[in-house]
Amino acid sequence: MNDPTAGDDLYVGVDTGGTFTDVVVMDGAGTVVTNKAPTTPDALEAGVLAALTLIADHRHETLAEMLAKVRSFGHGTTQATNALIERRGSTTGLLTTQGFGDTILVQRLMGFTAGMPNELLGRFSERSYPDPLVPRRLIGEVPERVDQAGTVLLNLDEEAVRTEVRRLGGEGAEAYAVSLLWSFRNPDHEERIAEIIREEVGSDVYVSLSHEVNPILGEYERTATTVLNAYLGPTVERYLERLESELRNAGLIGRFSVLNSIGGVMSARDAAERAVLLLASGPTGGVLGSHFLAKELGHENIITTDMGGTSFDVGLVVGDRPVVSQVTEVAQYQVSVPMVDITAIGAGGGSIAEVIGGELRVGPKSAGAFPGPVCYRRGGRQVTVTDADVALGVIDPEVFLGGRMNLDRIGAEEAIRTQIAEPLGLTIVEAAAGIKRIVDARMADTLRELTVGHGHDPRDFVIYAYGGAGPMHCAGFGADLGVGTILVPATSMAHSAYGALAADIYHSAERSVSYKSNPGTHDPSSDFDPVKLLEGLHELEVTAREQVEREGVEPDQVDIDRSVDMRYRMQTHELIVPADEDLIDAEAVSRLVARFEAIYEDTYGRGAGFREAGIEITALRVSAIGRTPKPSFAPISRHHGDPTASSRQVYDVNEESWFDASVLDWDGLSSESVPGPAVIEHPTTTVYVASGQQVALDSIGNLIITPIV
Amino acid sequence: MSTTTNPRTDTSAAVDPITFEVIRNRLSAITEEQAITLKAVSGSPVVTDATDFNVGTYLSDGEIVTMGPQVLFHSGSMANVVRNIVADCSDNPGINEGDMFILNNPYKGALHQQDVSIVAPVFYHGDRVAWVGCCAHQIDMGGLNFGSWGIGATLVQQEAVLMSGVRIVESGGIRDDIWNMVLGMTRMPLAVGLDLKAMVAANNVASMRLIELFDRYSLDVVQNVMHLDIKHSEEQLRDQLRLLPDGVYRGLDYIEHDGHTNKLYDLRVEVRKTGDRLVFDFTGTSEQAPGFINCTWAGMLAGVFAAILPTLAPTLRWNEGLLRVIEIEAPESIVCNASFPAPVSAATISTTWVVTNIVVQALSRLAATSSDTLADATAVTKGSMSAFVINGANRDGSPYGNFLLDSTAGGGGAYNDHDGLNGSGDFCVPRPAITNVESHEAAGPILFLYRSIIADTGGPGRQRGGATMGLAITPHDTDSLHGMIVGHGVEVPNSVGLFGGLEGSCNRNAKLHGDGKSPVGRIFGIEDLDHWPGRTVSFGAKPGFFDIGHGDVIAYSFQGGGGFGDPLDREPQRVAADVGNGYVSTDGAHNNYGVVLIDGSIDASATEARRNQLRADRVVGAEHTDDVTVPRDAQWLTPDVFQTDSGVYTRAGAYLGAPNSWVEGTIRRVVSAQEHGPYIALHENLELREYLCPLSGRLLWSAVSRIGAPDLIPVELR
Repeated sequence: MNDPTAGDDLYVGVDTGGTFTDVVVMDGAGTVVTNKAPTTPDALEAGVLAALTLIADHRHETLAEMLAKVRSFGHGTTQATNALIERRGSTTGLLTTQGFGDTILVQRLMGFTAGMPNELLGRFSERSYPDPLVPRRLIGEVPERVDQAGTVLLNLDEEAVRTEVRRLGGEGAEAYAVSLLWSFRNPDHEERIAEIIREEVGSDVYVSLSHEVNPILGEYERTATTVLNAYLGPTVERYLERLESELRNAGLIGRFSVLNSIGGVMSARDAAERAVLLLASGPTGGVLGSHFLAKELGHENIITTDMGGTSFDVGLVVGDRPVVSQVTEVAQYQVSVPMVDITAIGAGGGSIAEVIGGELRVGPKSAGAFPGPVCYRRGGRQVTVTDADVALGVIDPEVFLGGRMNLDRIGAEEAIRTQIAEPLGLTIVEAAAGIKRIVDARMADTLRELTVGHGHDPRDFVIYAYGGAGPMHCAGFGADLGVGTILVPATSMAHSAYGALAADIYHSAERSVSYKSNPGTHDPSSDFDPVKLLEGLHELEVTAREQVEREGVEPDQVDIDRSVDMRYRMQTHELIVPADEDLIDAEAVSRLVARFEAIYEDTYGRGAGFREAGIEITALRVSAIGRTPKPSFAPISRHHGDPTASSRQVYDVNEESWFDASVLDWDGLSSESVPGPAVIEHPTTTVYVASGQQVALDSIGNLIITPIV
Repeated sequence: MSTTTNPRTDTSAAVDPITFEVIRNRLSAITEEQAITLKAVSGSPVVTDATDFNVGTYLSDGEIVTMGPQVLFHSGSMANVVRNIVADCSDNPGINEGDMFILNNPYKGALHQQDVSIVAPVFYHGDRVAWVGCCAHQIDMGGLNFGSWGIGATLVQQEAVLMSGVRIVESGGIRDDIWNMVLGMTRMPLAVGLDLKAMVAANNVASMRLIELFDRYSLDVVQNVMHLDIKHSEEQLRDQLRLLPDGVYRGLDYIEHDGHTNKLYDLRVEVRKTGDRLVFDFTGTSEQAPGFINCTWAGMLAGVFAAILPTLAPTLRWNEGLLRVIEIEAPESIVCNASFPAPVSAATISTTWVVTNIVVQALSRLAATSSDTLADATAVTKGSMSAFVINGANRDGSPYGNFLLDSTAGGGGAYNDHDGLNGSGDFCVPRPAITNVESHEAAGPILFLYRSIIADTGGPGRQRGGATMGLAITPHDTDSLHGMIVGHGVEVPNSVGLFGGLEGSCNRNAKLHGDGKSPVGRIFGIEDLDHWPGRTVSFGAKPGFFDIGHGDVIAYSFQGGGGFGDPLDREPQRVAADVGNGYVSTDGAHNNYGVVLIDGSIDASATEARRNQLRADRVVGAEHTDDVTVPRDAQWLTPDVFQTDSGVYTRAGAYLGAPNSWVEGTIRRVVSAQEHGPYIALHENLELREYLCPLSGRLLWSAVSRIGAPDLIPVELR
């Protein structure tokens, strides 16, 4: 976009992904510059500094000069996720209630199917548990027992704790997780164990206690969350310390914060204490960036879609709130901290198309970036979605990634011919169009499940499309879904980094409770004690607020978001019900119950409610959001565009024919709509606009695709 | 390799392969949405954690188009539910738009009475064009006992309410009269009410989505896709079968205790594979029982279907097409094809379960004959089920009932190239889960003393069977609870091994009578049970009802998975690792694997000596023998036995005999239960037989056999 105006405060977002480290820098006037450098897996900070240096060069200043102007620096990182997947965390010892040490190994039997799509579930011979984070020898069981009311039934055997701590140390434990049954109802034993560990090992040892990390009912998920936190904590701590000090040495003065998976940023210190919250922080950045943009644009409901090389990640913002899930699967473990809910299916540019038994299947297998699609010339032999895009003319082999990579169109077509077209008796183009239609429809199916399947009408949503392959396919899945507007953000090429820039400071606190109304046809709200609810929420609010204010946010800049988990009694799945008003009297509780029943029926259909069973409140949750200042996007220049467009042959899968599609530079567009089929080229992305659709830029440079009515 | 019809060139349908795939994916997505809705609305952990339910879409005559990956037993049964409703209700009361029917009669398609189906016809422009349906296990449907487990029953009418297709939803609305009748029959009306509402909601969602699909692609196209999809699965399975050798593959297992007496029943299957046909012949199976362990034809079909899917069709789409390939031959009035009015309320966890065991055995023997499919051959996974129902008064005085399905945490069968899963879930449940201890304790007045993996419960083998978990509970915040355990496999090691792998553990059920003091702090694991100062009563498979009073403990553990291959062929390092991880004890390593460990480290020379000793104990003069060169045209019968024109041989080169008498050439010996593991127990009519290579002493297979019965010939090629 525009050259950056010199001077002024700067706001930076950096996202270290698997392949590239993306940087977004915004100045006080709202002008954005993005760039990327290869990720440096062995020393991630090197890639971050390299990408920053590219932008400083572009601004004609030194890195130190630029960093001195940075007011806030937000960082999204896959460091935690990678450390988990590659098992590079700290050797962790787990202390748990005697008789229940296998909980983390058996994983409620869910470990060997976690993340497995339904279509692969029948392959029993391929099932396996994840490589254990804490093998048996690193699990210590200690005599103690607390019941569901928090009553101590068996005192903690402190000598046994000492013995086990020493044994675990002998086994090489570097960090400790402590997770006892019902600890969130009575934390005394966990706290005492922490003291003993510190006495035995030293005061600076990394210890995670389950009642602190995740005070939620369900010992497996709470233990997994706590173990992950301890396993990742020291690694994350070292990395963030190193990165922050490198940045400080290079001249950064402003706030340094880290993007988490629950909806905002936190200080490096908090991130180190709650390392588990960084899992999936990368994809969360895209959702949060979209959410921030949506707020500016007045979009209350959005579907965020990130289509990369291997997966299609979808998030939802409904009624101005990102949808969160209580339990998230990470590397075959289930963690129960609330996280921005991201649904991923195996559909990306690298998804493999193959003919099996006379049928054309696309995904979930992927060629990834290596060996990648056939057209990448990296040794990939199987046809992928990207190869189809090349054959259809959607991707221009010459200008892919701004010409940084010359693609092999002939190779792609040849592979499609032999692997797909001939076995099915199709032409190459028909086969390529088929691949695109199937993958677009699968993505639309996923979006439909997440919207229609949860009681939302997709026509009320705007689709935000980003990621390497997303803008090429959004026209297809968007039209299939019947959505009115598709938006490709101006920052689409570094959207997660933009999310790290834009996110507010976020802390949450939650607690499991069990408040029940009696079964029957009476008004259930009369059975709840408003005082208990109010006090519980208030205590959580104090905790969350303190954490945010500790990061230097003024009290009047803190928003509080309260909710409770509710369900009909006898159910096992809860709904999160907003509880923003103070619950001071019976009427407020009755409104809360009504809200629950309304959400329930919206979600599961009219008449599905069953209040005769009684209602149960199972958890209280409060989040505190510290609003941080950041500029709005600068309006784009109206006269910047170059109206002359070239054209090339593109096959439109809906019309089933070749078109002379306009090829336009992103920066050449204006608010005036251009009808599809059209291809919008940008140095780091390609956007396809289908026939029957039109495209224009909005006032701040986002690309807007709408149906021609 | 494929002779499958190309959808594009198929004359019956004008559907291009792309549209086909798009619509097919959409049908799967609809089924998934149906399952999500059911799970979300349903109350019971039986549905949400144990996933004891299924959903699906069907053609107008009931043929299965799609099914969920939940409990596989149901998927085969719902097709019959639809067919029976079409047959019985078309004329009276009629099948109209907006109707739904409820059915739980096992003689009309249900597996047992607790499995309640609600199915809905889908109409398009006035014509009935498809069905959608759900089935979910209900915690109680009335009858003699809580949970509707009809222990002691002699007639199906005593066991639970019986509904043979009743119109519960009419013109889109639930009929209150029927609703009240159904809920009036159950002891848990709130839980059942939630589940029924969940099924109605899930059916509504699926019908709506199907109609949207018809609107978009036209009815003809969607129906063509449905038919084609079924046809493809059929053809792909037939293609696969043609590659495997023709022959007879057998399976044999037993079930003890019929609810009245501890009688032993045989279940036998002979799978005859000819070309692309599979015949399952149950001749030789015992006559039907006077008690509730029987299953009807529906239950037998369910057991067969559940076994076929992951062994023969792991990569195919699961629909009616697979059923078209198989034929079932079963005499009337046998325990797996009971005649009305035999009681059947424990069918799913009894005879249907064992049908799956024997079909898995037979099909794994079939799969092992080809290197293409050997990887899918599996020893039996957790060959028994043990339902534990607890009820009483909850802390607040309201009724409390729980159907504890933690027993799904048994062990998985081993495969040729890897061990079974430690805590595997059931073979009929592709995505299992057990409930958190804290959720159990929050739901009612019980306290867990341990829930942990038990060493030496996985069947020893070159690949070890998965170990099982065990648990113990005691009442807490209440003076008394009532329990009932219905299971089998306490005296029958159902989790048999394959090709020399040994049996996984048997179930154990015990009641420790309180001694006036709390058991908390005294019992932390299964090893503490032996030191209990009070009276201990070991339960058999079906102890019936018992009180669980203050300070009493109920301890129970499950079957581990069967092993694969001779345990003496397991690498000593892997045995040592198992000991370190608590899956095998030092004694187990010594006794079953011949591995001698000193402080956890392998004593190599002692191990070699021990293994030689064990081989010599098996077969006098046997010693470790290198493999002979196998002729190129040899056909493997098992991974250790091959057949050529001149007869059947072992890998070590021992001649066993002619193709129809080769078992006689093995060395056979009978061993005690203890020799195969501390948790193996045998019914008084059973013995353990080992079949050994005369030269190498390698264990070719181990069999649980009725005393005096002739040897089973596991495989005979044609």
